[in-house]
Amino acid sequence: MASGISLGSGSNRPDLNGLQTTASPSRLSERNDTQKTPVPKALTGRQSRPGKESNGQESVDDGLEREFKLRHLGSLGVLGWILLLHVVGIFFFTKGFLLTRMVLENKSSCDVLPFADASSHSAVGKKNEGCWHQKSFEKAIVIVVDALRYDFTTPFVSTVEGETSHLFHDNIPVLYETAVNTPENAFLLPFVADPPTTTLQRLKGLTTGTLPTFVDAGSNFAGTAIDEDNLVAQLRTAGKNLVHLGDDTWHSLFPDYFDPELTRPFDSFNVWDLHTVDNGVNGHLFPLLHPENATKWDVIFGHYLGVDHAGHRYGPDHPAMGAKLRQMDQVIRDLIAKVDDNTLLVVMGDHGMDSKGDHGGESNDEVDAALWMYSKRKFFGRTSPDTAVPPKTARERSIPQIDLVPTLSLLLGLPIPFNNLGSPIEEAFAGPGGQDWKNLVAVNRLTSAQIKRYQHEYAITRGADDGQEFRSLSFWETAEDAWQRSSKRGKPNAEALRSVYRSYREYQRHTLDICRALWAKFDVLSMIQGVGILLAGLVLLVFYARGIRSDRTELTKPLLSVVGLSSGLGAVVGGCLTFSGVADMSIAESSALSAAVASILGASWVVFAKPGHLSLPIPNSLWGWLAVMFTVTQSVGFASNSYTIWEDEILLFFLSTFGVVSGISSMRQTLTADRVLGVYHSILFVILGRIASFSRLCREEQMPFCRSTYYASATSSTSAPWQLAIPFLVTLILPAVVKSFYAGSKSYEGAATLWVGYGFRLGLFLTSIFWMLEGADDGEWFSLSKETLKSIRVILAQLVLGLAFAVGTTAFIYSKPCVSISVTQGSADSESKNKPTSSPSQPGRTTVTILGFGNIYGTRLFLLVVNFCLAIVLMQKPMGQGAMGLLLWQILSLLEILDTNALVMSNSAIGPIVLALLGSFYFFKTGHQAVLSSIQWETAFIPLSSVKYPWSPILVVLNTFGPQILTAVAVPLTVLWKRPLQLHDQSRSTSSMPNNPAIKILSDVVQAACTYILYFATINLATTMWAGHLRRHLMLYRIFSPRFMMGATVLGVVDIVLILFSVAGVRWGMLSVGEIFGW
Amino acid sequence: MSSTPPSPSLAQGPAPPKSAPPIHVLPNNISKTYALIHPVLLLALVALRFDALVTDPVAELLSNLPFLALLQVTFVMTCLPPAGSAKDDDDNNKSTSANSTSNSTSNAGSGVILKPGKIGLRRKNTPKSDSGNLSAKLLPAILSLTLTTLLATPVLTILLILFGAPLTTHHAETLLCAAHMAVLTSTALIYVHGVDGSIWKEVWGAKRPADAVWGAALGTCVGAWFGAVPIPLDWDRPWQAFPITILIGAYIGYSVGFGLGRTVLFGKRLKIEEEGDVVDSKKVD
Repeated sequence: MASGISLGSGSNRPDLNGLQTTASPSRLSERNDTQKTPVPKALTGRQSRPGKESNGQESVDDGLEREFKLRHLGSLGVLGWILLLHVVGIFFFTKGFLLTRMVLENKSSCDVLPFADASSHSAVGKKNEGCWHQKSFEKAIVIVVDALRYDFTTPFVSTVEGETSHLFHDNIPVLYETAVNTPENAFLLPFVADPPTTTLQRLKGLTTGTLPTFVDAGSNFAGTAIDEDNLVAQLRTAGKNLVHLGDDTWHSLFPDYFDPELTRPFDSFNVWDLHTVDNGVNGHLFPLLHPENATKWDVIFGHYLGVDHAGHRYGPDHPAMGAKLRQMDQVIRDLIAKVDDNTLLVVMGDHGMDSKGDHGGESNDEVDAALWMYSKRKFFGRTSPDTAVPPKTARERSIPQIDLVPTLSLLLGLPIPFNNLGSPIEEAFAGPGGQDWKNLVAVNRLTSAQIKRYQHEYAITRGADDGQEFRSLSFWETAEDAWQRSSKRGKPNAEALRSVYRSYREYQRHTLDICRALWAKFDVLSMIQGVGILLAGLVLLVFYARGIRSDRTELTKPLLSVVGLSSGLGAVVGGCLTFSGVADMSIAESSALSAAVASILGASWVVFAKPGHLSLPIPNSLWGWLAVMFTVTQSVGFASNSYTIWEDEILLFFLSTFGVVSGISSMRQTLTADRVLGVYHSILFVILGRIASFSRLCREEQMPFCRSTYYASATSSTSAPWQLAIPFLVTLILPAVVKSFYAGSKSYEGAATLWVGYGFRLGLFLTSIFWMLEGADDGEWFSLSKETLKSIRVILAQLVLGLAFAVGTTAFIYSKPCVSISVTQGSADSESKNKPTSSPSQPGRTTVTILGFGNIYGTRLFLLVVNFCLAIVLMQKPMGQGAMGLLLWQILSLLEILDTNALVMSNSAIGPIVLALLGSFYFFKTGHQAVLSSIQWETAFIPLSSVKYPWSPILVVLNTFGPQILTAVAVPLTVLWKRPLQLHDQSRSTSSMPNNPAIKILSDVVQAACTYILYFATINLATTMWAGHLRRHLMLYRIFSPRFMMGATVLGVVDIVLILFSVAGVRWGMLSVGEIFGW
Repeated sequence: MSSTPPSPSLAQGPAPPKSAPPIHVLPNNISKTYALIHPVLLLALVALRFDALVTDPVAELLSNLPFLALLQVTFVMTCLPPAGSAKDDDDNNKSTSANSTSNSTSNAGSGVILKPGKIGLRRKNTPKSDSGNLSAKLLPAILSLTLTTLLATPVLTILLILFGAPLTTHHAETLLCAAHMAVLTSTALIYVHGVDGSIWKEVWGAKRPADAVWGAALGTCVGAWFGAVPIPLDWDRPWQAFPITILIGAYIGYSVGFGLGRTVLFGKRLKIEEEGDVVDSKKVD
């Protein structure tokens, strides 16, 4: 685009209405030859600076700039308020939805038996023989092999026809062999975890014997000390010297319980490191087993992490896993050789792992761990020949993990921890012959009595006594009756004892079931409050985004002041309510709640007070209806587990629908250029989306209709070698693609050449090298040591992040618009005849050529998208990098579609909504699913070698929600791409109130941002409501609850990104354009 | 795509100057009767063969395809004016374009009487011998079938895959599903419009005024779109397998579109752009 215009003074700026009249600004580039273009301010300033008129212009410009900056800040304030509403709403729902259980601080004591008739209890002996029950072992070694799944330990049996054994099968045979060959020395059982299957939660369960609640899930980052009665505390009280080796989670749970000299904690979170922890544990464990050290300790807790880390890093079906399991096998054999007769050896997994080696959820693979106990003297028994051999699969004869607590307590002669709900394990108390029914009855009576005592206390503390308790109490009474009868008989026969044992057992399991149900107790009032705030916020947002006809930013000032006033007032009122005892919650909570309610009321008053501003937010075109349909049908669909599971396919379907409709709409365009470009980009859009859809990571429920391609195989979490080529392809293609879109409007000028051509390319290249080294490390291709490779990688990653964020942001803030302006002297121009030359000092005429004028706002702001794209690409696995490349391409394609279909200037809702769909779609294409176990925690270690706050969580967010973040940053482009330059009309402006086109742009940007939020807010409200409504659904924790958590998190992330980067970035874009061309 | 909200999106717009008018079913009794029976016949075919379709989709789709093609050919030859005559029709209309456009705004049911073009066509056709008439109809019918097979089927196959049909498996299902949809949508369109570029541009832009042919074609696509909805549900029904619901949706959509296109929506056009916006851009241009 070359436009020749002659320079006059600043006052002579041409009327730009001529430019604005084109329906689609893309034609600017074709037409500008004959049209007048604005004169760059910089040139006017340089060439004619004669006096007042120019100064006047400057001051008007300054005023406009100030006005823009002020209103821009105001808009950020409004968005901030929307964010606060979301946070408060989500908080109140979460408070009521995530399960809570009261923590009783009672402790069991050696002197107080759980039942009143202490005299009848024959087994109480002197303290050194054990309290409550005769102790069987003096010492114990408890080994936790993190993520030891049950099927790792048993011989491979084919469950599906034609299934062959995997690399994780048959590598740790020692447990099974000993249990089968010497059943009196060892037993092996499936050991089922209560979800959430995170290590911290599991350790709590394994030591307290009670059920977890969901609140603690995900706090794997920072555990907190257990204040309930637990096994470790009981050991400590009994004067045992405890040693802990391995995973340092134990230390956050049990601070100061362990012998400080012998204990060796290791960092648990670096999942890329397979060997440090395990070698450390071995190095400190075996010396302790030496006879001369035997008196130094009583109980050793060893926690191996290698298996878990191998799973996270490579997935179970990988040679590294096989090697790790064989190492564990050897460790256990060595332990067997070294323990003495009085030491109990326990080996267990705290949870399993899913097919990719991750855990956290409640799928069978994740909850099925293994438990193995060993004693050198003949001790264990089987009560029936059916139970002689360990079960073939984890679904048979499994025991809950909390059963470890009473078992270990009674074997070591300790009181059972107060909160325990588990049962003694049959094999451990049946005696070598398997017929010691008396012992079984004794331990089960003790356990049952303790459970009853706990139930009683819990009911008293809660202050309520409901029917559920009586139902389980009847089991207790039946069992007690049977016991009384059999004990009166003097010498009871085995059959009678067996039935007494059974009835105690029944009581224990029944109580466990009741407690499971009881603690799934929701605070419905709080949930309704949360949903109410979210709903009201959504309604307001709908009107603010789609219903306001006038300038949105005019509302900012009254809105902010009313919101500020009313929320302040509400906060005070809420605080008073709590203070006076009317509201039954903490001051902070009630203040937040009433502040939110008051600000909603205040804002409604501002928005709805002047009906003239407002129109009903009903779509007036097929585009609008499409946008509504996409959002609403998806939200409704989340009520069904199927549509939640298949969300990725549904998003592809919607995106293809949009592409086809845009293709059809493009065919209708009158201008050939629009038609051809529109159809081309529509086809491109659909095809790119379909290509991206081949990158999949299937969730368990999608099986068998889904094939994972994200990693090398379905049971791995590393990339295949061919996938390492993807980053290089992205390096090669993506900058060229961006360049071609810039070149389309002749905007590949100025900062763009440097940043897209060199900076972006360099960053992508470094990323490719990073991931190649990563692959080399995994495959051990180089002879370089792991440490060297890791430090090279960290440096590379930090370079790329520095390039994207430090250099990129600086470049974005200070760079000029992507235009090239050249001035040539002398050549005559016909147009100049119309223009009086006001500057006498300037003879002749000047031709100014401006390239890249047609897309001045869009190309400038897109630099920010490029920055974020680079950082997010680095954080993705190779397959995800390809997906992110396709996403950037699709965003550009979408912008062209919007432009050719005249949707940029009409503020259609479809642009932001399709961007939101893209963001959600690519969430699934970067190896994620709406389940906890798909979070790629290990990406926190891409640019760091240890956990650092706050960076590590931010990096994981950047990996997980990268696509939504990228599309959020691109949102303003839906109203800025190829938008013609608009400057204030000087001829008509009065000195008092000049019209300010920048404000109109700001209003449009805010509208687009709010529309984008609208999609995620609707999804969030829907998933929230469905999760609340379906809170008793079988699939709650598998499907609805994770989707709700994802929806809430995405909404928060998107709000923050829009405020901090996306809408904020518009300020720099506008300022830099204003600096060159004036306002 | 989504024609569900008829009020804003399907509005009566003034016909652009060069647009071909909507197609009427031939105004004789046989044609009108058969046009009523035809969609019912198609639905009956699906209903009758539903169980077989669920048990073995590929075989059933393949064996049904000739019948479907035959039914469609019978329909177009009985009820619709072939491409060439439509051109004449168009020419005739052009001479009385003012009349014609005002017609399309009036009730569609009485269109035949009010349309001089149609009468002219009938007059022109009457003197011809029956055999000539037949060949004049057979040729476009065969042409339309050929083009349907060669062009429409691959295009629809690609579209199905782009919408998420499996790429590596189920090839026969996808192809046959596309073939059925192609016969439903394209046979009649090609038969009445031939290869007239301007009309096909309208078709690609979904700008055709509604009539039985266009309504059925659009209805098939929309129906197939809705047919995908029940697939992900976990009801474990055999009919949820990939092409079945889409095809059922397509057939139902065909019949509904056919009916609506002839009657209520006749002559109306699908609107995509915002009302005010169109006016704006008109002003500008």
